Amino acid sequence: MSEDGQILKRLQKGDKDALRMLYEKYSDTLVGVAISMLRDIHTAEDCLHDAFIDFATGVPALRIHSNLRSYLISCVANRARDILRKKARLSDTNSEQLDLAAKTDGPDSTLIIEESARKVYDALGQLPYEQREVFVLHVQAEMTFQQIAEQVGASINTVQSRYRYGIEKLRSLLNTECENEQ
Amino acid sequence: MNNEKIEKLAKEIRIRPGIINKDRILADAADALDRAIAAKALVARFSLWRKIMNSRITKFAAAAVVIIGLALSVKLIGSSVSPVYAFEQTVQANHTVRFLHMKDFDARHSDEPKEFWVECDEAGRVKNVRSYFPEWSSGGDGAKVVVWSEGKAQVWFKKKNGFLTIRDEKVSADMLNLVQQCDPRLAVERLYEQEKQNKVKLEIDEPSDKTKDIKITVNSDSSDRREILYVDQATKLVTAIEFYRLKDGIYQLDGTTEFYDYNQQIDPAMFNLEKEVPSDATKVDQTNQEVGLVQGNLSNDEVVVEVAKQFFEALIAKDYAKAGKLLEGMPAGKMEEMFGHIKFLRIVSIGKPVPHPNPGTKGTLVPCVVEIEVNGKTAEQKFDRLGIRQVYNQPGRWTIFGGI
Repeated sequence: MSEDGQILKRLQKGDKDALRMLYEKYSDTLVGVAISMLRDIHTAEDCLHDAFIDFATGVPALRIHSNLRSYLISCVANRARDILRKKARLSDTNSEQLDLAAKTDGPDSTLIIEESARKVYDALGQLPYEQREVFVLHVQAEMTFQQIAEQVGASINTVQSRYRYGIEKLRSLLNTECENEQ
Repeated sequence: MNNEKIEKLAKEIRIRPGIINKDRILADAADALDRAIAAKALVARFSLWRKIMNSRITKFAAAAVVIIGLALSVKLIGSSVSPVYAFEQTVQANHTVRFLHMKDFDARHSDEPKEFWVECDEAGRVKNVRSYFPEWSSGGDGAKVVVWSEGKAQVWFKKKNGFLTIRDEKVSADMLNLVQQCDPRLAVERLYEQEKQNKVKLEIDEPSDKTKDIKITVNSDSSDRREILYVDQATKLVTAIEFYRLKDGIYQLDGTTEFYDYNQQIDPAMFNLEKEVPSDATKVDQTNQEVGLVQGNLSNDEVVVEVAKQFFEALIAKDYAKAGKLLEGMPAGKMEEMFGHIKFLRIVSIGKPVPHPNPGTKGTLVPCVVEIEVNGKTAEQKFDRLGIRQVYNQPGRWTIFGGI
């Protein structure tokens, strides 16, 4: 049985430690998805909170071979979409107010990677939500286009188009910024 | 910057640990988990969240029927003979058992036996019974305790934290038979009688060491079973009975019944679960309320459809008292706790009743489709496992039982 299968089995017996284990295992990905989609740390936390409650409520129905990672990401994505539907306008947050901690390859590249990751984050904020959602689910959540299509309720062709337009716009934004800096 | 680089950098978007209040998230999720597990246990297939459960039947009152019935299966060879012995009047007249405590071990679950405590009055009538059924013997209900006294049975479903009270007069006759079957002194007398009638053959092994039990092996030509009684040499009381079944030419142990504290006073508190059951247990008392729907002039098929219809109409109207009455007498508060977060909109269809796949339930399935709203989304929910049958010991009244 996979590790997730064992965790699920424990969860279905009401084991709270298993819940904590699951959170520790996937929180980085889930928080990254939530913040990239919602652009606000407090809203992202609320989204994660509600998504975990959705998940916990659904535990008794999950099968032992369920993909918990995908299911959790679905919970987050659904909640994010619900939150945005309620908001008339998504207000973007200045990335300097967020406490980003990017991975580093070594002391020399720390600042550059952090700065670049922040630039990608800023550029994501300029995408229409539908394109941002597909990009985040495909890149950060590592979902296939088929899975994303099922998640968002669109055809796979539509999803692929959104992704293509999204990444083209990101490239355009980021390359324009680099040119301006030069 | 190319696509690959963009994707790589996007994967590096992270939040520093400590920013998100994970304790709050985990605490609330843990509560939700507890509620979901408890709801599943009691509600079975009533869960209507996005990932709809396909859970098992709870068998609330049905379990009580089954377990009270099964409590009384005794594996003595004598039990296969008609219970009406010429001997019977003598047995009753000379019945001296006042208290009996026994454990019934199954060979496959030898570490956790069923356990019984019985009290009789001076006339030999069964007065009180307490039974413990471990999880393995409970068909998915989890371990449970059953107490019978004065025509009422109390059932405590320990795992599900449920407490059910039902009427059951017939248990008294069944319990008397059990006591007679298991009364150690009477068992020996019965066997000697059967030997005289050539129905059984007894082999007696009496060790010279008086601390060791006498061993009486009982064989029957007409049966593939054997039993071995162990008799205390000092008291001449049976301390244990082993039951064997012939399989592949070898007698294999089926189970063992052990007797303890013969005629030792049993604490009266053992025969009342009211104070023993946790205060937060879900309590359903079918003896002080009218449970289910009266059949009247309706046919069986008509009444089960009517029960289903009235049940969902009650949920649509948020009349949890009425809905609970149709669900084996579940309290209104508990019904609201289970269903209050779901908005039942309308009954889409009620299908033709079909026999329940488990004939032992004596129930009927009525497939239904109901439109509901959850999290702002409407959907048509199928209930294809809605089981309906007569209320236990209240013929002519019908109720939903178990899950859907």
